[in-house]
Amino acid sequence: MARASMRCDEVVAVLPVFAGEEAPYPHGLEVHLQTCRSCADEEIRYRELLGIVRGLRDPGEPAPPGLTLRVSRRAARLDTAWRGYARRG
Amino acid sequence: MEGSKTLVDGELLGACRRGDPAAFEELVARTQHRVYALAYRLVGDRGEAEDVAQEAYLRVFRSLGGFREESRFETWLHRIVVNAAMTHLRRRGRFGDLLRDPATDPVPPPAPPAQDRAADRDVIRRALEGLPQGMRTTLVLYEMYGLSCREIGREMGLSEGAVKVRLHRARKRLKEAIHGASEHAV
Repeated sequence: MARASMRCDEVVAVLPVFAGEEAPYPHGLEVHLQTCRSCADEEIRYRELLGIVRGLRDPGEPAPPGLTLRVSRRAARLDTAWRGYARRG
Repeated sequence: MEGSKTLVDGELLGACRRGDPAAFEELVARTQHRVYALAYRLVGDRGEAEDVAQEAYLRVFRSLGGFREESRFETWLHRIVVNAAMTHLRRRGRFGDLLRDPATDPVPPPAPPAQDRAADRDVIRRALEGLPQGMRTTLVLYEMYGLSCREIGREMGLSEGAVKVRLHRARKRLKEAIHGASEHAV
């Protein structure tokens, strides 16, 4: 049978596993977070941190100028080579 | 600027599949920032990120004819970029950095507290870049690009369990880099 609550050291160890995930927290963790301010603050720090990390997906680093052109030229060369190969059979 | 909306629709993909060069160029133009940003986060060098992005697009060009799941295009594109980045790191002899388990490496001191949300993002971005490569890659792919632990494991040649352990360590390391270690019960 599951324990009603966890100890602080156990919570600190498992927060990186559960914080920010969609799945509900285990009962013991949930109970502890409701009664321990310090661990609850720690859990909030994880959730906020991961929320910001997820928001960083949009590019902070723009693609270098001319990338589209360089890719298109390489693709065109590839296409020409393939068409030539196909014609030769 | 690219937002979170769908960047490539079925019509554009159809034109690319029919071999329309202008359509392919448009596809690259629409997705280049996102592709380059992912490549840069994985290889950590601007020049190498461009090589990876170009290689990924050539793979897209070769494979697009057989791709039918329009709604999943961006996920598919991200996987190709990840795969191209892993190939690149292997060729450069840097793949070992991804597999190395740096759990016992010393954690750098926490960053000074940020004053606002934009500064928060900047501090976190820098802390993320300071993570060991294997941890950074796992965290980026899982948290930002939505790959599952199984998918990440497939790309990195690790078991799903090993990826989960790495992900949890990366979260902990990042949190410690920002806020320091937990002040109680450690």
